[in-house]
Amino acid sequence: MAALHESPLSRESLIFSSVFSLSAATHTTPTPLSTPDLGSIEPGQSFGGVFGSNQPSQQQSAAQRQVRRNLAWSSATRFLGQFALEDAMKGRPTELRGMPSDVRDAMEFLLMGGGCPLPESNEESLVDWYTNEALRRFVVDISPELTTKWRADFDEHSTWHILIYTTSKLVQAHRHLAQPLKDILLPIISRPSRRADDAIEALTTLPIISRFNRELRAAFVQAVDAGRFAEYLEHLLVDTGRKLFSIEGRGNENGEGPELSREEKQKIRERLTTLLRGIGSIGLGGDKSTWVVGAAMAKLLDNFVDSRHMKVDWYTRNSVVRTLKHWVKEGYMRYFQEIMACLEVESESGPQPSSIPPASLQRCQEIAINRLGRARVADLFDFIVRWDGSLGAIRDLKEYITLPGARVHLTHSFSRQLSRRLLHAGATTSDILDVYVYIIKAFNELDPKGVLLDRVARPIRRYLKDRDDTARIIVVSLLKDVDEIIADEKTGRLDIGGNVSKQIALEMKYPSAHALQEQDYDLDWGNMDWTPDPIDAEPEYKRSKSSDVIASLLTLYDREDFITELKDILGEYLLKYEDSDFEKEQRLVELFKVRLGEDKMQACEVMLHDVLESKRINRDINASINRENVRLGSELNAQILSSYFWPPLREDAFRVPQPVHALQQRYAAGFEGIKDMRRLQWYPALGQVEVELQLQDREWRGDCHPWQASVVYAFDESISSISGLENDPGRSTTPSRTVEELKIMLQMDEQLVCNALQFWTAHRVLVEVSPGIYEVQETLPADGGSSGDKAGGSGKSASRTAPPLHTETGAHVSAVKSQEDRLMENVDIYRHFIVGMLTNQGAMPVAKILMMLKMTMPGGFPFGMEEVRTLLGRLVEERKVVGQGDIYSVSKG
Amino acid sequence: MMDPSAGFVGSDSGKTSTPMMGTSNQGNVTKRLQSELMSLMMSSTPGISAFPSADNLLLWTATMTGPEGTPYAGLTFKLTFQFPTTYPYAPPTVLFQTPIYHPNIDFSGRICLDILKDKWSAIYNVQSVLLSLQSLLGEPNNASPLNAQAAEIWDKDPAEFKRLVIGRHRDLSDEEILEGLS
Repeated sequence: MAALHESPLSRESLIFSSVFSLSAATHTTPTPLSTPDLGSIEPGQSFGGVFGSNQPSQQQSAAQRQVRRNLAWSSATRFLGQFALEDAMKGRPTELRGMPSDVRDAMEFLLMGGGCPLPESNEESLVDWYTNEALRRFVVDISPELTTKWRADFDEHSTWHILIYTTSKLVQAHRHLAQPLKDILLPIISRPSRRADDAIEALTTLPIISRFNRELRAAFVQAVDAGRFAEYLEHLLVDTGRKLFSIEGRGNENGEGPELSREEKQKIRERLTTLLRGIGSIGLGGDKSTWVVGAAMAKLLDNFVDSRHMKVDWYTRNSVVRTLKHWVKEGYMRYFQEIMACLEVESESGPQPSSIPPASLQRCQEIAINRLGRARVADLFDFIVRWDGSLGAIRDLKEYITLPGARVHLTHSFSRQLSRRLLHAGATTSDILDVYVYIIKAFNELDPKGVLLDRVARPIRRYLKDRDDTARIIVVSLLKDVDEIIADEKTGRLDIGGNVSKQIALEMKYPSAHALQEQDYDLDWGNMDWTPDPIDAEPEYKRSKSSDVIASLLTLYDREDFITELKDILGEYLLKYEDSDFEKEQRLVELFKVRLGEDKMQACEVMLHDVLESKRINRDINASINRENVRLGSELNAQILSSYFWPPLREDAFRVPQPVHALQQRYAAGFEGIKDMRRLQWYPALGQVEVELQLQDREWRGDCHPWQASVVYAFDESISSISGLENDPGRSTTPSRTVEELKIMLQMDEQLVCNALQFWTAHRVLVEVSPGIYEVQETLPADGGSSGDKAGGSGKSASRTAPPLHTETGAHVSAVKSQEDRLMENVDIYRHFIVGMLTNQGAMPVAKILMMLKMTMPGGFPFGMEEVRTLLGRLVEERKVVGQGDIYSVSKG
Repeated sequence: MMDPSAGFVGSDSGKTSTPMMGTSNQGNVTKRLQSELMSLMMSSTPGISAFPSADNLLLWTATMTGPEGTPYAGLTFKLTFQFPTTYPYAPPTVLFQTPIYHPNIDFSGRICLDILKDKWSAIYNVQSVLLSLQSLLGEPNNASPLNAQAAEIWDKDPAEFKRLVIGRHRDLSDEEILEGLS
């Protein structure tokens, strides 16, 4: 007790007790035994005397009881006060045994006898006193140590340690403090009810114990830092959960520790259970820790979703949702229950039902799926790009999108990813188209109703429409042979400027699933798999008729734009591959007919028809030519094109070699025989010639353009330039020609002449002996022979059927007029517009110039930024315009 | 005259404007203006030039250089043309954006020219209006001046007039041109 008086707390309590007399401390001082209670006398009675009344009056008995109670209080509290908590904590035997009988009597008197606190008096009961005493002792002896411990810094690794330390300390304290209560006081209280059954005993003692416990726990909670305690408990729960479920941490993914064995897991589990029970018993569990557990479980779930257990299944491409659900049911919920069971060991609501209610299990699974879904959505773009290896990831999402809010989240998030990662100037159009194809496929898998696809595809479609080359790439890709692309990829050769979307080409390989889908889903009453539209479908939502890739691409454009582009490209294709059966092209035209309307595709149909009919006519005419005239040797096949329906073609005319010309005339005659009254107009530039050159030391054989053949033929014609018979033997002089000569001789454009000369120089047939002068390069002096085996020119007849020939469009010079040609045709107008624009509207960036041109130019401006830059570049050269970065303005002065 | 369908305040010569309004006419105006633009671009008359603004085909900016032999020689002037939706049956509203000192042009750039008012006819076009304005610079109509002081000085003191013209003239920056358009 000496220590007690020195401590500030006890001084405080002394002051306190000087005002409030009933403080526990005062009662440890016994009422002096020697002071007699004289009692008092009723008014009118004699004071004392031998014959005074022996019977104590009521007041007397009250006073006597008070004295007796004071005495009993004194002895009881003194006895209980001996109990030394510190000793008990250190394991020393406590001195409570051997209670003297007077103390027992005193206690009995105080607890059960006349010493019980009278109702309406402010007397303290012994149990209350002891409770206070216990609290005081805890606060004085144990709390400071714990507080210091918790104040100290410790890292995550000592979590276990500090929690176990605290818990065991508190459990011990609790046990020792409760011991006197249980051992001494309660038996006395419950003694009278011994006759009765245990239930009554429980009834009397339980409230006392629980009240005691409550008080004590309140003190415990004060002793530990609640915030940090929660933090550590949470960390501990998560950590243990991760160990139990073998979830590797984010940090050490590389150094993945070995999975714990079953025994180790069991050990951890037991350790945790013990700790949690302890926490529960000292009152730190229960309601207070519920949110800690909640937070920990949420974290654990996140960890699990991020862990390798929930990795996308790239191999079997199955959904991991099943695994997840199973884990939630068998692992996660069990773990959770275990924790809660331990923590609530003394909760008043009684033990939890051991089975999980299905509703909460389902809810929990939903939460888990939601987390998984969100994790997948965050990387959705990457999954789409890796389609179809990422099928598993898409399947994971299937269940997710049935959850409320999930669809909106998915579309929003994915749209954001798209605009950040795809829909910008850095992505090539063919890439965007490829991704679009992936998106269509992936979303069809995800949501067969197509609502989600409709949502996410809109920005892409809008963006694709803005790209100038989209239509072209789509059509080219549709016509392209996939095997060719793959071969190109293998050899590492870049295909034509990366202008082909491989995915679209691949798509064409698959048989059209069109017809099967024609039936209206919503009107098919017999369909047992019918489901209503998803909730986020707009009221007017109608699933686009065909969800296949091609259909989606074809609806991308305004019909007119698309058809114009299609005509150009189809024309080029038809002229290029005259040998094939045009199966693909026919299918494509049919496809377009369905999508765009039959009337719109008339031109394309005619084009297709032209080339097919040309084959037949070629066969007929060549047969008749062969019959009557074999000596021409060469064969001429023509493509008869209905010029009205074809896109503008190259019209460069030049003089074809004499034999070819003869063939043309013969062919034309034959044609007029078949098709009455129709005349052919030859387009010599559009053709393909199979050339065989006999050089002194070698032969050259290959395909080339007609003008190239004509140019090389001109070298052969040096002597008899008019008659120009091929295979003229005995030529020994090597003729040399200048560009100028060739131009006049062939009546050919300089551009074409140069192109042809380059071609032959590159093939080492011609050589530039001095600038502008070419000769046949015969390594040994020999004659250069050339023969045009086949030649032709595309033509159009004045009427409307058309002309003939064989065409091979070169890499540089295309059969159909190129954009560049068209640009050059109108270059003057464009330049005037640009200068006018810049003069009046001030400086502007290229994009704005382009926009203005598109707006103001009658008939539109079918070009892009590149062309505008070219135009601006010329104007800058002419010093009419000055450019500063991307911004151009008229030059002053 | 208000044309509510276009939200445009037209010139005050309502008499000549044919009551053709509404969207169907919009296309005609656009077409007409496009062809005018085309012919203007192709003819490339020296000293005058005009072009529609970026977002409104009915609002043009024109650039005109002062004719040689006048006090305005060598100066560049910016003008705006606001075409009514009834164009060409009603004249465009033409304003000088560049500050100019001229008897028939007031300080806010408004022009007193008969063909822009009651003498307007559908056969006029941007080019002819610009040419008229160019000649107006050299030959002001001092009988009906908007700027009486200028009219007076023009007659009395050509040197002083030139000085005032130069003093008032100031080339506009690109931003100011855009402001004039808004």
